[in-house]
Amino acid sequence: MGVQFFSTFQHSHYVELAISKLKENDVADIYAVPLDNRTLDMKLIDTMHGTDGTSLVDIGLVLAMMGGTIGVARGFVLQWGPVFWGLIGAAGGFAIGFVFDFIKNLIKRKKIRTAKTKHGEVILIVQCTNEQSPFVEQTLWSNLALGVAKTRMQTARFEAAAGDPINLPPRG
Amino acid sequence: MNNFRSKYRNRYYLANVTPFGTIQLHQRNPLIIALWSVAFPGFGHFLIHKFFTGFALFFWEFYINQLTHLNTAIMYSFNGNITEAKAVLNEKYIYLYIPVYLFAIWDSYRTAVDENKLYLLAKREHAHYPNFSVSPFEMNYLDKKKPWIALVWAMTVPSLGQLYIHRIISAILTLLMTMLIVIYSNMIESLHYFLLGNLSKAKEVIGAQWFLYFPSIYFFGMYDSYANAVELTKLFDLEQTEYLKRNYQSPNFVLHKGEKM
Repeated sequence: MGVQFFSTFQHSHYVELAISKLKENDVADIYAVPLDNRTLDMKLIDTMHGTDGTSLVDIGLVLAMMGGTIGVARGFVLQWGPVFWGLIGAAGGFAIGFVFDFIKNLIKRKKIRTAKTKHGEVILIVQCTNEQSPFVEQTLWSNLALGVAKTRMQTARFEAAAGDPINLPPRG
Repeated sequence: MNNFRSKYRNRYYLANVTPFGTIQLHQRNPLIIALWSVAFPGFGHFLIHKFFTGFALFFWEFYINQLTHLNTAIMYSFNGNITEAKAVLNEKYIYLYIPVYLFAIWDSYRTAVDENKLYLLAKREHAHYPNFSVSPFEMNYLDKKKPWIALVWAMTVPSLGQLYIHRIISAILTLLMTMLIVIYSNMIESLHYFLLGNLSKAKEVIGAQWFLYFPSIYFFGMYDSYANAVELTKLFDLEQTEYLKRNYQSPNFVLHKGEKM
């Protein structure tokens, strides 16, 4: 049984260093998938078909409640009365909260978009034998892989290709 | 790249890594290029990698400016001292200034528009280009460059940011001009008195004619190094992407399912 590695890298000379070192040591089954960068902005306003975990009304509604209560209370003293001041207080509170959330999300959204370079830019898949696996893992990590996952290969093709037909597991 | 008969010869190339710098096509806003030509004729051309044209326009404007005392006249005009401005301008040469100045703006705009088209053609063609250059003069290679580092170096002494991103030709120009300005405008001396709090002395030693060149050179150095650091980093990513796709996406490769160990 062989081992298959999935790893992510950023674009740098380290990717090529890792690949060349693996090839130098007879690990030739390498597949690379460069990822496209995120260019889409997150949507600010939720639609019927999807939300993205951002909300612009959380603080707005809390402030609307507080503003409404204070408005009603003050309305007993002020000229327009509790009903109008209550409505004004609620609308004002909501507006302040909405603007706060909106700006906060704009900043967060920008961060998400610009932080893309911190994430994986290249996926590297490496297949090797069990004996080679510690070396491959060490090579990937030492060349600044962002993440490495090691999976067991259950299909027999790799061993057959590697010219080791004796240890073929029975096909089920 | 120079073998025109080879079947491997492509029509358009996205970039070339030369000993004196990495020359690349990338998308530019022609308006920004034109505005840099407004700041100083030649700057727009440097940004679109037309260095010789840029040099010609730059030194031409510099020469006429020195002959006609244009910077001094600008200083007087902005201070509302119109009679002094009229007196200091040299009417023998000043009319030469206008057509070439407008040409620099127009030509850099036009070329930026053309280069944007070439960029699209080159990008669609996926031609191979060098990512590495070794020569007796210099060593140059594609690499990620940090824009902020380029900016900070450019803010210290103009030209260092450009040297960091290996733009030798514009670094030479920026360094040369900075030295000339420092020598003839006494600006470092003036800065010294300014820091000591002697404002009248600081004003007295500085020469307007030479010092007025400095802001455009200084900010151009910052823009040139920052913007190109960004583009070089993008070029590195793109080149590596194409390299990996070409060499490490064998159709014989079979992906295996399997539990994580």
